[in-house]
Amino acid sequence: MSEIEPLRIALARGRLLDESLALLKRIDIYPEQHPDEGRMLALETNRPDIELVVLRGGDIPTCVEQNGAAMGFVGSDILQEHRHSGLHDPIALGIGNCRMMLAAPEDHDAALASYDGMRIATKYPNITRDFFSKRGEQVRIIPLYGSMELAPMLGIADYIVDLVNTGKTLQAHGLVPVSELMRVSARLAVNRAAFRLEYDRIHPVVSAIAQVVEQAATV
Amino acid sequence: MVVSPEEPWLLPEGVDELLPPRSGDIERLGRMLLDTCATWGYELVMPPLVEYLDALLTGTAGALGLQTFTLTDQLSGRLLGIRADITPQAARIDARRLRRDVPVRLCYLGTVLHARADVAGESRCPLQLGAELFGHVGLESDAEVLALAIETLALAGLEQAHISLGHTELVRELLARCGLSAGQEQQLHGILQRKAGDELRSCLRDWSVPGREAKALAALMQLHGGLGVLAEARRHLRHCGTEMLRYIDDLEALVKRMDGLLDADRVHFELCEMHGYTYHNGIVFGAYLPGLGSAVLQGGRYDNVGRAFGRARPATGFSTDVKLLVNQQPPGSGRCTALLAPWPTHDSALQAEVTRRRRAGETVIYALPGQVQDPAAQGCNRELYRQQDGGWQVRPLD
Repeated sequence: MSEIEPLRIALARGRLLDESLALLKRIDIYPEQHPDEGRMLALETNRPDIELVVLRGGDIPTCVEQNGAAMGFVGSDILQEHRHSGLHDPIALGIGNCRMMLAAPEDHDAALASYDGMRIATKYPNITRDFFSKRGEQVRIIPLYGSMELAPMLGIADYIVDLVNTGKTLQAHGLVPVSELMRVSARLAVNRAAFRLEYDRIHPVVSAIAQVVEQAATV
Repeated sequence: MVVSPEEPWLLPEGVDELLPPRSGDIERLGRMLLDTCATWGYELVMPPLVEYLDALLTGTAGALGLQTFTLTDQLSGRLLGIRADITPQAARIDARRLRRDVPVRLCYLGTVLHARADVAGESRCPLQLGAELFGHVGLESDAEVLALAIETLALAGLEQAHISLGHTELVRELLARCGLSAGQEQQLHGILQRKAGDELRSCLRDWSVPGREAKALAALMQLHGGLGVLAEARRHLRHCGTEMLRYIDDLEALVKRMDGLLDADRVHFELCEMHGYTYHNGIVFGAYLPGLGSAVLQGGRYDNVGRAFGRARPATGFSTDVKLLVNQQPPGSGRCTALLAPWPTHDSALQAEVTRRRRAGETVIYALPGQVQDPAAQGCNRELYRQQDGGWQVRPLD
């Protein structure tokens, strides 16, 4: 009999990783080795039928869409930026909570009625464009991949759109939040084909996750 | 991707060409599948590669708008579209060209072009093979089309495919009772497709959707799995009217009718199937293969698409990408089977022998005068040689 491929779950490295591992632990799935210890990006777990892979958050929708992993824990910001691309994302995991904000230098014109023509630095061009389109405003999007907070100081943008957790990073760079684009939290993404093909293996995991998330929400 | 002028032979992203031996495999499978469709009574149509954009996107085919390449016709000044799907063309042919009153069965094989790949890295020019049955309402035509789809997969050596079944009218019927605006419905389509239960609950609450409908819709989203899910669906939807229960009965009856063709271990029900929701209106199905992240074949009912062409007709059908089917198989073996024959200078006996063999289906290649002798590179593993008595005989090549 041929060996069955393990079910792969993709996790985002960075701030979400520990929370994701803690959540999986609650449904009794945990890696044999913490990812930091061995610098391994593919991790065997206590369950021979489940493997974890650790990726950059932005790569998870592509990885799940291409069925490199059947499931993934990924921020709703990334899913929305990726336009959800035919994935199922059945559960809000209640972890990685933050807000996506439009922020400006402290001395910005707070009475400004329209952002028309403004330059906005962001790594979320789709979400930013949609947000301003709905307001009927045409902005210039400056795509950046990191250190967004420096963009106004460097003179390459008037505003930024980025994730804000405590607001301290903004403050440290002389920026203030102006308005909220969306509330962000991690979601469970599932490949559509795998959901149908591997239903007997995927559904119990999805249900178990849903149950612990619900329990956590009612505590 | 910007292609440098020094490399003009590179093909655009997502555009591929077929080379031997794959091209031969694809051609053979395509031919075999069309021949099979013919034995089921499906007549071959060859719609054009380009049409007026208005015709290509008429009716529910409007969903293909973003997928369709457009160009301007130098003769009429009108916009033309390169087909992204042959199904609407088949519907047009049934409605405008054939205009028969009996059930019409059509099949086709041709390249379509997608402005954007559905999934990153996928081909933008699938070789679409499909079969469509116009002019019959009822489970019988659904069953026939599904059976032909399953036969198609079997002929491609993909018996292990899983079949997912759904019914688009379950969602449509429920949404119609929720009293939502077009914009709200549109928003729900995305949420249902993603199965985002939390977002569904919050929208239904915010929009004050009546409790019974809200509960049924939330339940519908969770109704997926094996055959047992149909009984569960009846329980959840029992207060939602006989129509809803009839859709469930239809799915069950279809499976019964498929007796022996559908393996219970490989059938999945997705009662909140949103794929092709804007286009389909009845039983829909898809075939999935282990390891592949998207469906290899999709189909279902799309009644009255022909209305836009002046003749509403019930319709159901399926289509697949022959390149995708062949890519699931290992490359064909035994490619080196041709026979090498010497150039027949004034030798009518040799010419006759070669003709005889070719007519019997054998590949025979003449060695051209002065060519580099590498028979294997030309796919030859045997050669024709003259015996002492002047007759021609075959011997293996090293």
